[in-house]
Amino acid sequence: TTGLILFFQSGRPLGAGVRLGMGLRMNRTKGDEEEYWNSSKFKAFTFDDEDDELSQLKESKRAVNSLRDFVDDDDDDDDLERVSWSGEPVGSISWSIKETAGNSGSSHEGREQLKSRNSFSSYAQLPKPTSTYSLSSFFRGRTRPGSFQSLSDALSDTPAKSYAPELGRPKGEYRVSYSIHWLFFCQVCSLERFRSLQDKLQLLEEAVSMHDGNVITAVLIFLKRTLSKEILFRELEVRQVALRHLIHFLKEIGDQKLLLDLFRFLDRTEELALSHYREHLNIRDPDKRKEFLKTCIGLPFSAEDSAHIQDHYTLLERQIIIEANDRHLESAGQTEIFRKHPRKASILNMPLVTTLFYSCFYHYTEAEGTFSSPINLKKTFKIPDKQYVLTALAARAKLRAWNDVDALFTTKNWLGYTKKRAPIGFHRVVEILHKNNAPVQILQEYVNLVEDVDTKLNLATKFKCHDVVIDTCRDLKDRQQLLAYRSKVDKGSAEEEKIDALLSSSQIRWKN
Amino acid sequence: MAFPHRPDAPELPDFSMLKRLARDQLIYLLEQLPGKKDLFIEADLMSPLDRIANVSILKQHEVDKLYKVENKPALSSSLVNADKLAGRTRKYKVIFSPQKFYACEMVLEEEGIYGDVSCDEWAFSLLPLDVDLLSMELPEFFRDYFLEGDQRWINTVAQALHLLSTLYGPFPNCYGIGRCAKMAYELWRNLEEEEDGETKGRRPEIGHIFLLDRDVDFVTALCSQVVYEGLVDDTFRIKCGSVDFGPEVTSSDKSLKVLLNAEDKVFNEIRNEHFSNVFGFLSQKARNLQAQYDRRRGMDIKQMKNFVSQELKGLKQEHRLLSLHIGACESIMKKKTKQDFQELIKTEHALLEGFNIRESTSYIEEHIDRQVSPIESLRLMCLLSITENGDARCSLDTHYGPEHLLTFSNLRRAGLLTEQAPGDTLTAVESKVSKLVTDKAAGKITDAFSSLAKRSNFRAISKKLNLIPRVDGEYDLKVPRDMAYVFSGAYVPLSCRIIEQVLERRSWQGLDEVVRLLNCSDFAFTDMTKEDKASSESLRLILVVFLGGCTFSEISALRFLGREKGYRFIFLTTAVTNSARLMEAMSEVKA
Repeated sequence: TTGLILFFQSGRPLGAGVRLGMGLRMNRTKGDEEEYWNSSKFKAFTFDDEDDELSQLKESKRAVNSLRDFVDDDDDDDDLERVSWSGEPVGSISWSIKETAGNSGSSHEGREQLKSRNSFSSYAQLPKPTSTYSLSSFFRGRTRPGSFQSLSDALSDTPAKSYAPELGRPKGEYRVSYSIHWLFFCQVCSLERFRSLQDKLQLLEEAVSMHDGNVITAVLIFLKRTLSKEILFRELEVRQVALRHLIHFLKEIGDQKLLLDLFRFLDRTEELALSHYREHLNIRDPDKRKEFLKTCIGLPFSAEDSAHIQDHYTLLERQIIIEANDRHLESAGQTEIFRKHPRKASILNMPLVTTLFYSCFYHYTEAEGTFSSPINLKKTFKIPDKQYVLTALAARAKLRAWNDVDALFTTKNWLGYTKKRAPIGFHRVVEILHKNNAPVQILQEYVNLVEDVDTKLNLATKFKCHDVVIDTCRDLKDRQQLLAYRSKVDKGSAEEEKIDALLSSSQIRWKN
Repeated sequence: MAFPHRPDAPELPDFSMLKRLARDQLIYLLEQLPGKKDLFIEADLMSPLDRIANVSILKQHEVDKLYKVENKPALSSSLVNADKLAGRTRKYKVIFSPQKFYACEMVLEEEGIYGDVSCDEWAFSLLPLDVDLLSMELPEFFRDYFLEGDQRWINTVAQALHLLSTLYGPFPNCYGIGRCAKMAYELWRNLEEEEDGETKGRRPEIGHIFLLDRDVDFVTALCSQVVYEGLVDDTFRIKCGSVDFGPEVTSSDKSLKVLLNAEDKVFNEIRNEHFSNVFGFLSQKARNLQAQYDRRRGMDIKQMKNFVSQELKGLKQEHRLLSLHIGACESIMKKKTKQDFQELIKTEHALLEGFNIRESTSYIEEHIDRQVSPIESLRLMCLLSITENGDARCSLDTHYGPEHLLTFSNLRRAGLLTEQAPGDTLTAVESKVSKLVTDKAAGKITDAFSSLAKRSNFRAISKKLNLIPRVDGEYDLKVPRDMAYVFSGAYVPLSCRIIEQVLERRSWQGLDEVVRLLNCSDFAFTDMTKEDKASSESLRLILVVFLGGCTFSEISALRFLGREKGYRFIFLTTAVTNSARLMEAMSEVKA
């Protein structure tokens, strides 16, 4: 091969590496979280009113599927793949590249050649484009002989209207206008001859008034190189559009030092703090990251953010301890919970609530004194009761530890009587239990605790807690509803018998 | 179903020319480096490139191997420098699309390879995704401009508009709203004046152009979509006009990449429909299909031969499409049921209408507590904040990792989360700064600050523009009466309402109050030229330019408006967007 072509979507000249690294890390994290949280696969549809429509949909699906035999008999399966509704091959280039997920990053590993797939040759040759517009006429719009035109116009003192310097301006400004004009159109232009501050600023003003960010940045690159940063910062402070371009430019090329200097100069303390804090995302090693976060504490964040930064540090510190401990326990193989439910990922850098879930899952019974105990986490990070209960419930239900679930909602009053209480509402409890495939007896118990009768009835119907439905109908003296429900229980089942017994009972005064 | 266009609706211009132009230019660029060559393509560019050229075209022009690039600068410099070390000589060309930036050249210079590589631009900035939809495929526009304030893409937009007017004639009527819209318009006008004469004398094909900044209407883009195309986008992510349907949709073990556009006859009929209508339509279609297949019983040989040669292919095609979309619907239903979609929609509607705020707030809090999804939670918070004009920050950091405070800071800067009372502090800074500088610069600072201090006046705007339709009884989604149908009859998209009102008046007259409430007093403009050359047909063709992205719901709503009024809309967007994409663009932690 004699040549190489690199195709870039323009913009983002730098910093992509950083962003990529982050992306990878977060992908993993997200997947892991989902592992923790996905308590069960989706079950049957029980969507309130949509039943009819779904059955309609299913019916149409059946109809369509039943046709398949006929349709497929003389058809190869791959036909679907090649079908193209716009008359061009679908996914050709991406498809051929897809297989080499090589990240052609800093080294050679990404350069491994694409597997040349035999189907390359099978692509139909497209007819040669028959554009009515010739290439040259198209390019005229881009390479712009027109701008030469206007340059010569300008030299002959009849400059193009829009970039014409106003009459009566000093001579230097002509040069400025032309340079901006050149930057905009011809893309090759040396700004070196603009040495006085006045010229430089004039250049910037012209660029800004043209609205093209690329030109503004080009001038800023020049100013950054040729002005001391104090002067540059001072002048930009009163030129907000240009200032924003410089900030973005510094972010993109990763000139963190100058960026922080700039924020310091502008007295934008909060942005300064956030910018500094952002750097932790680039640190992979947990201990180094922890040390870095320590340096963030005390930076001038808003009061609210300050607390979060402190928590972030404390949390990571905890996670490092828990992780070391648990990894050891797991590999020793002596602890039952880790044997039965091996950890899917490390707990490092997980959000607080995921950490709480983890500790409710693996360390539920630990005394408050340990770093990994759920109660300790709750106290340290002031986790609200609701959140705590939700998380603990999800974790214990996933382990099918129904006694723990029971205890979670049992409170004793001063007389020693026990009472069930749920800060999140029992309807929520029922849903979470259902998602974790709790057995009907358990579900029933909690459905019964739902206070609002309608909600109770709905939930009981949705989750097929027959006894609750039947008893509720009886209590409501709603004969019609009971009658309707009879059709939903299995023929000859105990439930049907129970309904029949009630319906024929003479002791109930039905309201309808 | 699928309302027909009015008989007097104008024909759409043929945009396939744009593809041919892009292809021609690509080939021209490939030929600039004669001989065998390897091609490194940046990941983001692959899907758009796919729509323009294919492997065989590249092969024809002596492209040997293809590589995907994810890490640009490191790659180019390490490639070239490694070759240098190895004493290998090759020619290198870097092609930037749609344009080259000075910052990129600076990087090449710093890496010491400037001069070793030649740079070119592939001015491929308009991709026709459908007969009425042109995309610039610049999703980064949103973050770059609305968060960072970088105006680098304004020139790209201006160039694209210039190209359109070169190909399809001048636009006699121009309207716009938004700071970016105004700048793009001015830059475009400069370009046109530069090349005065090129479009002169051409008959305009498209009578109106309307430019609109995304930040004029964040609310619409933040809502859950319920028209079919929007729902498919929200659920499966339509990328560059095509979607990957996984095994759960195709009911096989394979995924399928499907182009979604007007060529897909089944899709074309349901794309703009409210989701609740789609089931009925699909089952009707399935029954018809069944009936058509059934006809073959009782056919004699000759009829059968005819049937097989003439109809069977079409029927099969329809069958395939039908089963795909039925599969997609089923999958959407499953996912949405799992998410408690009904309750979610109810909350959104309450926010839009401004009642039960406390209930909605507690719903959102619960949503966060249940760890549904960070992006969803962020979206709801932004919606709450903008509709209620207040800071709705909850303790999201605890739940999704503390890094989210960076995201919050971004959302605030972009105006997606509004501050409680920033006005006073800003005014103070502003007046202090203005004392220091000349009048001209002071004006600019005021501009800059006014965008920062932007307060959402959604409630007042909604009242003024009647965005919440008064409905007596049930809103019949089968026979929509206004654009609100795209949100189940609860809300007329603000962006679309503005466009409707301005087109009706042919100006901003009488909309002063709305414009003021939108904080756009200085950025709403009209520019009309004499219409003597414009045919009445062209005057019913409207190009709407969304700067920062538009959603499929907005497209559906305007298509509906077009059918009602006998217009046709053409959409030009920097990228097709939705709520999740907006939130991800603001996210510092890429999820």
